[in-house]
Amino acid sequence: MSIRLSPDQKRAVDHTNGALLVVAGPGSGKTRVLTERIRRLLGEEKGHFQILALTFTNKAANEMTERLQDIPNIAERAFIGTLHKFCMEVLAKRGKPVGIDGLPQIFSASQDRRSILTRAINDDPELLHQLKLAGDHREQVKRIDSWLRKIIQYKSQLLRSIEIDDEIDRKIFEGYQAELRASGAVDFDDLLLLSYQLFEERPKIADFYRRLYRFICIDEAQDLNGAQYGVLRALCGDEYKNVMMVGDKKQSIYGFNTADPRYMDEFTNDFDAMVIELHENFRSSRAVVEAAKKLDSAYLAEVDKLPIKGTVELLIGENEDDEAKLVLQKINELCKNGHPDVEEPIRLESCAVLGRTRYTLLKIEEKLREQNLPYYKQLKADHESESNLALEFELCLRLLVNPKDQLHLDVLQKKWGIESLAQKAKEKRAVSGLEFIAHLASQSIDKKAIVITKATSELLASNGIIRMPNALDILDEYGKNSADEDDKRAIWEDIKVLRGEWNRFLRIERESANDLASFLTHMALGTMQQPRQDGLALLTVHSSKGLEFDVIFVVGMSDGTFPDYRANQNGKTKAEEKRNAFVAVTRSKRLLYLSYPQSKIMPWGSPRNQIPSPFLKDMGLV
Amino acid sequence: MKKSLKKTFNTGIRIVEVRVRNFRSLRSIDLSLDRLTLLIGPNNSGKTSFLEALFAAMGAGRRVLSSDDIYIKPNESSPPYNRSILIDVLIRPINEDGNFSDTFPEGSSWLNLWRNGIAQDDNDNDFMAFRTRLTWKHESGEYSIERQFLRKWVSDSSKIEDVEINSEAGSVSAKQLEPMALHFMDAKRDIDDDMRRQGSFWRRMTSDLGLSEDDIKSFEKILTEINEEIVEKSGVLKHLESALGDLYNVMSGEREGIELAPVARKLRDLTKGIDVNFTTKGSQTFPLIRHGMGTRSMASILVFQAFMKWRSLMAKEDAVHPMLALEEPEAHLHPQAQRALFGQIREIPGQVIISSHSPYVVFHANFSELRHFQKKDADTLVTAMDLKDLQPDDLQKMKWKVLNTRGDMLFAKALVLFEGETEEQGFAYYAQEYWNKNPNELGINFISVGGAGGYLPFLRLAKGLGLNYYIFSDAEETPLDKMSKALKQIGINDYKTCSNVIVLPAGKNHETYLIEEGYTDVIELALNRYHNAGDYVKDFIRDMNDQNNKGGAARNYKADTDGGRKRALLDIMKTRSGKTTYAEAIAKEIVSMAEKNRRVPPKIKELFYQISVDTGMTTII
Repeated sequence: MSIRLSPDQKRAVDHTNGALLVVAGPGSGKTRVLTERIRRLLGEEKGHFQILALTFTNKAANEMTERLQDIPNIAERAFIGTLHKFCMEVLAKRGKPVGIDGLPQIFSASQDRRSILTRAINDDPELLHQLKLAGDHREQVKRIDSWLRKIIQYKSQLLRSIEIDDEIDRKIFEGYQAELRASGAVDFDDLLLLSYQLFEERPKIADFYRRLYRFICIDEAQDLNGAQYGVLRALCGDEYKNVMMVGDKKQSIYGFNTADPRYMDEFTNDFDAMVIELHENFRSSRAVVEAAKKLDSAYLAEVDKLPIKGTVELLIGENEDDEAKLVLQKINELCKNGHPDVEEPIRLESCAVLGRTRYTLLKIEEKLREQNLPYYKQLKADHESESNLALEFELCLRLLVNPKDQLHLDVLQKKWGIESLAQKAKEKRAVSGLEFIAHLASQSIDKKAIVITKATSELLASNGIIRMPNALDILDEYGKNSADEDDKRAIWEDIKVLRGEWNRFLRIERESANDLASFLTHMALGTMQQPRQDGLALLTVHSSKGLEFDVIFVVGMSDGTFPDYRANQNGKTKAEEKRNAFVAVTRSKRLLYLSYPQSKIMPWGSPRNQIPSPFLKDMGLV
Repeated sequence: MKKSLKKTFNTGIRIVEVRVRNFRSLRSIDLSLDRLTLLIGPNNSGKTSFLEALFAAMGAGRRVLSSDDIYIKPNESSPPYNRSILIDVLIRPINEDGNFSDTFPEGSSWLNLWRNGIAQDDNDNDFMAFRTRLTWKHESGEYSIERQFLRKWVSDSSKIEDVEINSEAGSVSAKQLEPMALHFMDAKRDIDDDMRRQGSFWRRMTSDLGLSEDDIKSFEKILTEINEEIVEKSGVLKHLESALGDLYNVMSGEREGIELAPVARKLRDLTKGIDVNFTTKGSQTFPLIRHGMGTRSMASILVFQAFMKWRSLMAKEDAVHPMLALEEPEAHLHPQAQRALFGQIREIPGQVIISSHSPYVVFHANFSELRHFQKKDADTLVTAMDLKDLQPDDLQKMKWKVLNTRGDMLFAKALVLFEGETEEQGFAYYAQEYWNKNPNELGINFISVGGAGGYLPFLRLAKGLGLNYYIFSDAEETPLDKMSKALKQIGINDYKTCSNVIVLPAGKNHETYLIEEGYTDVIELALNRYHNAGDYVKDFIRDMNDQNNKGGAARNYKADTDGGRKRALLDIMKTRSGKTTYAEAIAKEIVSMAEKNRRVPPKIKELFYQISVDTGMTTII
């Protein structure tokens, strides 16, 4: 990448003291401005200081790390990572005043949180009574979910239990928190909530970080939610102003995470920030930018300045099968012949297929398998194994790390069919974690239990060194001999992911001890986001954020699929669907293909005619 | 230039405390450090072990800990595997005025160096603490050493072994310790050695002279010219050169040319031979190497000082905290030079830890800087003085009445205090007789406090530094009262309960006690021998009867039933000059008595027995 900067970019890069908001459109070099500024500060600014570079997705953090890795001792001079990871480190090192001593274990799966809350309810007669009032089992499950949402909501407002007015809500909140801590764990929202409390109640600790980090840089600022912004405010206090935010309001698609681009405006006010706007698009072709402008008239990129024409085309399939066929035909054709607007030969790796949800990608995946074309999937922000073997292995890892973890012990016992002799997790078991797992396995008739026990003991066979690859080999071997083809494939994929994650963990976490606890924490934090792999990328729109490809296919562009049928109700989610479309379209650097099936087989088996997405109309394609 | 030199005095940090567990004889010691800290105490009490422990934790150079360094209990042949060496070091920030500060300020080089390794205490004030630990690893079957940041510094130091190091604390890299690495100058230091030894301060400073490329070229050109000229003019060298030319014939190599270089041609070789010429007034100039060890040892310290200042200057914005451990700065130096050197040492920026046996050095230190080392059974015990209840006047007295003349008491294993000089003189003989060894050799000091009113400053110092002291007191009312009062001032309310306070039988003083114990004949013998008289008491009665004594009343010895001999004897010994004059003679006479068990009077034997028990020497009853 050339170091030449536009005058606006240069202004942002040259900024030193005081708050700065960079409002930037797609392809305007946001991340580049951020990394170039970090590079300049580290190179030119005098004195001893460090930089705190925060992102909201691991993808963004990884990209920033990669861009800056040529700076000598960069790991010693800057923290580059997600806000959650930063909070985790703060709590692990200084969390004692808020009840965290050492590395906290994170319960990230929603199922875990549900179990924790259920436990808390069972411990409290009054809550149990309230739950029963909800009605039958179905209604009770709904009630629990609504309570969980409330907990999340309270946490996102950074409230402590005493600040909750509703008595039942307060009891739920307190019970949930107590149960979580009893398991020696925190949830994602706690990372923010507890850091916020720590900084507010112990201002000298916040002050330590202000002294340590002379500059704070925040990427993808449109993804800030209230709690995150609260943590930032508490960290900065009243005096600290050296914060730079870079964001694109139009790319805010994390609405489900209560992210809201309005915090960028609040930042401008609260920090008295200077604002620099970057409109030029250096990445995309004219056709792509024009399409994006049609989706959002406020998008100010100047089309005339773009040198490359590019293309935006619509592919219409008779049905989903035909749609997938058309897409793959196009890909094969491009890979064979190339395209005048793409300088280099087009390879599978230059292309990505995007879908609003993972289900829209199933047909494509099927066809890829048929044609034996390499591909990889990145469908969710966080990883979850599909095969029981990998899931149970991960449960065992948790038990090895946290003997207090009753919740996952219960899950494992259930999976292994051990009911009569339910084991209680103890704070200090007389036997080692390995012996405990072997003991559990001995009571199970599940064949997997033996294999997993073998893998875990191999894992810890050499004291002080975690032999993850050896353990995974054992699981892999089991998978290869599995009779069930689906199972075989799921195990193979899961183990591949775990291997990749372990390798990445070793590379990234040079500084921390490579123990199991850190591995699990970083898995939970999703640091182990897979880097680009070989083959064609299958991505959901959400997981595509921050990535770019020469060729983008957006499939399933029919009304009800994209925009999602659930979004039609109110205006806010509708606007968000449009932002999703904007993100999807702007992932393309050169060529953009949108497709939809004229008819679709509904889950109950009958075909239904599809109406093209209104976004296609907006872009003038229908 | 001058300003930055001054700046180096304030390094931004201070090492405040060091806790050592299971290192050699140091089973468990905590030591607070000042800018200058003086380790004192008897030989073999653990001072050097402490310095080595600190060096193992943060030394400038390798000092690999091994299983040989692990503390062994007296009855053990080797340490159990679960015993680990721990060396914890606590560092606090210092502000520009040299006072402790709550925080490492923004932009501080230390903050940037230790980053998240810095922790906060219960008041959220910054500190940095790290642990060096040697533990047995069963897996690998060997001891391994690790250094990790500590997240808390427990106030109860008996609990430090419970402090768990979680992996989040992070390990300390060599880079993070280097700017405050401890330099250890042992008693054998010698500038001559420094000038030759690779990696010495001298060589590190002189290896790069900071000359420009051009300067180096032009100097080396001159060197070549000098070489050529010397060889040209020297018949011997010319002869050698041509003789060596035959090498080519033997080795059958290409004839390129052979050159003799009487002087090094490369500047970097030349710096290896930098010499210092040192002239004292009126004497001939000659190189440092030819001077005595005292000068060379001192020069070595001066070079260290110069090195540290130079480093601070060169480091520019990066902080450097010079740490020097100096063993016996007094070595090879006469008292005057010791004092001068001590002044120099105070000028060294950073922190200095000195171990010393020199009363002169101690005299010039502050009481707050002293750390007294001693052995209790097999373990080392360290005591620092608690000065908070002492007035400046008290300190003055301790300094001038005690340290000024009796500074050697700080290095004694046992200290016996008396009211007067009589005892001081006599006791050396009794001790020699009792232990069959010179008391100096045993590390026992006999000290007169100069009258019963003089106890207090001695006691304060002895108690403050935890010295092993004894009192041997008369039992006459006034001195006993004064002694007892002094003890009360240091917190001992009833001397009778103290095994280290020996008091003569009621009402007796040293002289009446000896007579009471039936040593009259021996005393008379001593007097006769001293005065070369046949019967000195008889002569005394003859001369002094009817004369007025001090009180004014006339003596009348002859009225006594024994002809006044006993009273006269007492009077002889009591005279001011008599006490000191005869003390030595009487003791000499007593220890050469024929009856072996009478050679040390019972009360004195009692004292010696107690000392033997307390210090672990052979006891004789």
